[in-house]
Amino acid sequence: MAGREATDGDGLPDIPRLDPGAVAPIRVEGLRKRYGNVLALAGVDLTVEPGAFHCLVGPNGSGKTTLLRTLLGLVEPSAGEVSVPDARLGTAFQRPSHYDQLTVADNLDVFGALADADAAWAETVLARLGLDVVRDRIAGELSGGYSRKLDLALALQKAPAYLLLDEPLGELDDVTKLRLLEFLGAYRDAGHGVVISTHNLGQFASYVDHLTIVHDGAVLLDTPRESLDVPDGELQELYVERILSAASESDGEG
Amino acid sequence: MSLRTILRKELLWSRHRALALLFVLVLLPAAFAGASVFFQSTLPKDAPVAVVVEDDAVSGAEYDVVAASFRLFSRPVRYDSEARALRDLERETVYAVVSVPPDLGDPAVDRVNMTVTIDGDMTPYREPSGALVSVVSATMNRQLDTRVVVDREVRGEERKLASYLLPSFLQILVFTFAFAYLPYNLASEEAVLDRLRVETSLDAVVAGKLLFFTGLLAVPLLVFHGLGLGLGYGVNLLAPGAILAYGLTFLACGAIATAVTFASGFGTTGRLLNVLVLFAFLGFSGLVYPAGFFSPLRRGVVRLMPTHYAMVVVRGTTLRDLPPAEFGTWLGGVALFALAALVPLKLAMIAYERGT
Repeated sequence: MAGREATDGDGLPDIPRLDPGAVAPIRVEGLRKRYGNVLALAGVDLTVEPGAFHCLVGPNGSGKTTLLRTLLGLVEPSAGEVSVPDARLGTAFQRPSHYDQLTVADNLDVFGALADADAAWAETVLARLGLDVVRDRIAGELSGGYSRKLDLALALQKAPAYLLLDEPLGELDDVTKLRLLEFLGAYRDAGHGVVISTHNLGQFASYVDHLTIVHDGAVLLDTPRESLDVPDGELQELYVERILSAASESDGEG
Repeated sequence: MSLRTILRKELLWSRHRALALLFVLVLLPAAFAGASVFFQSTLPKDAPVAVVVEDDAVSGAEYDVVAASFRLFSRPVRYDSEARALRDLERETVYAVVSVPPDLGDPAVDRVNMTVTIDGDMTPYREPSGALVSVVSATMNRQLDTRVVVDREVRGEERKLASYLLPSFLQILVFTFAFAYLPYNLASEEAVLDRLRVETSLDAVVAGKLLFFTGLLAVPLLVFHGLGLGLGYGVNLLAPGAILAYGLTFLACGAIATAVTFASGFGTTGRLLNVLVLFAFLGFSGLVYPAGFFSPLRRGVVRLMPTHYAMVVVRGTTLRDLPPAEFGTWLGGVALFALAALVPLKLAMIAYERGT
């Protein structure tokens, strides 16, 4: 695995370790989703391994968010099978998804109770994401960075075996991005699966264990990172080339 | 120049808000203008009145004379039992009870007394009943040789309009709470719904919301009750039957408002539709004037509204101190209405979940 190896030694509370072998993979077979005349997913096959950093990458409107929402059970497939193991899923959406009128601490309290979260773990999340300094602030008044961290903290309440995040770094400043990435890497290193939906692969390049490129509702490329003979810095280029090539093929067919 | 640009912007905006503007500028005014057909009369001219034959000595012809004289200003309904008639008076099924004495048609009898009983708590009927007694008295004395003295008897104390209106105003608040505040509150938390659906279920979220807000009604209930006590109104808003009726009304209306909110995908259409439904409930629940006061069309609609029966239960239990058991069937009906309202709510939630 790429990225940070240790979760200890940084002065912050530890992330509890999870044995990836004890968690079943997420499997998707022949998944189709139609919204009226629009085919959002056109027969997707996918396996997400536990304990891996899996990037679902694709341009806007490619179907990756629909795919993520289907895994979460928020979208009913039109056809196909989705098998999510009886493991806890945590998620953060593109849009902020917390109670704006409540404080950070209240939000954590509510979602912690729903997740039956361990109090010590809730404090660990708070400290690791640097949210302890804003715990008494009203969530609706937080900056974009803290707002996103709060959503991540809510997703982490039940220490999910898989963390599914939709564009988790969107509109964040570089320092906040770096800290969030470090945290996600540490979370993966502790044995938890991290699934990222993004159109900006470059930001996650040094953490990716598995890459799935989605285009027009179909999987264009699905491969372990190690099978790609390109350095981290060229992953984004590889993705863009694949997309452009697929687009020109489509245009040619059209 | 800048004004022209801004006006142009407003024009562009209106093109994208055609549906909302259609509602505000066409549908709503049409609903208000159309609602005028429901106000065809200012005084009840065909409110039901129970005509009770006192004993077997009253002939059919005597009954007919009495009924005919009442028909000028009300709608007489024959009752064979005074107890049943008085019970229906309490339930606002009739607004006066007339006892037909024997010997009305006997020319040998100089004078006969006839009683029109009204409910002192039915404040809006006080003045119409006075007019009714005068008209009936004049008509009967014109038609009969016997002198008929029509007495107006008031059951209980004559209640002032202010105290009569107290339970109605609380019911108006319940409707407003259900159709305006609840959808607003729900919409303000729309962004959290996806997370909640992952962590728990939409059913639990909506059930929690409805139950919590129903419980919150205890606060305005206590405020109304306290003010009523302070003002010396003699209205018991904490009567169990009233609490049940208010609670069930809120549950039913809250479920409908929530269903509209989900069905519209939290859109403007849903908010506007809820306002329209609120007006419908305010207009057709007999909140201030009882059903019998309205035009036949409006009365027919009101009699179909479960919330009208909830209002009668509220008035009966708060103004007249009647036990809730007196209204068991109607409370059961309102409870069924609340349960039935959960069906469109569930369907709207399913549609919402499938559509997102």
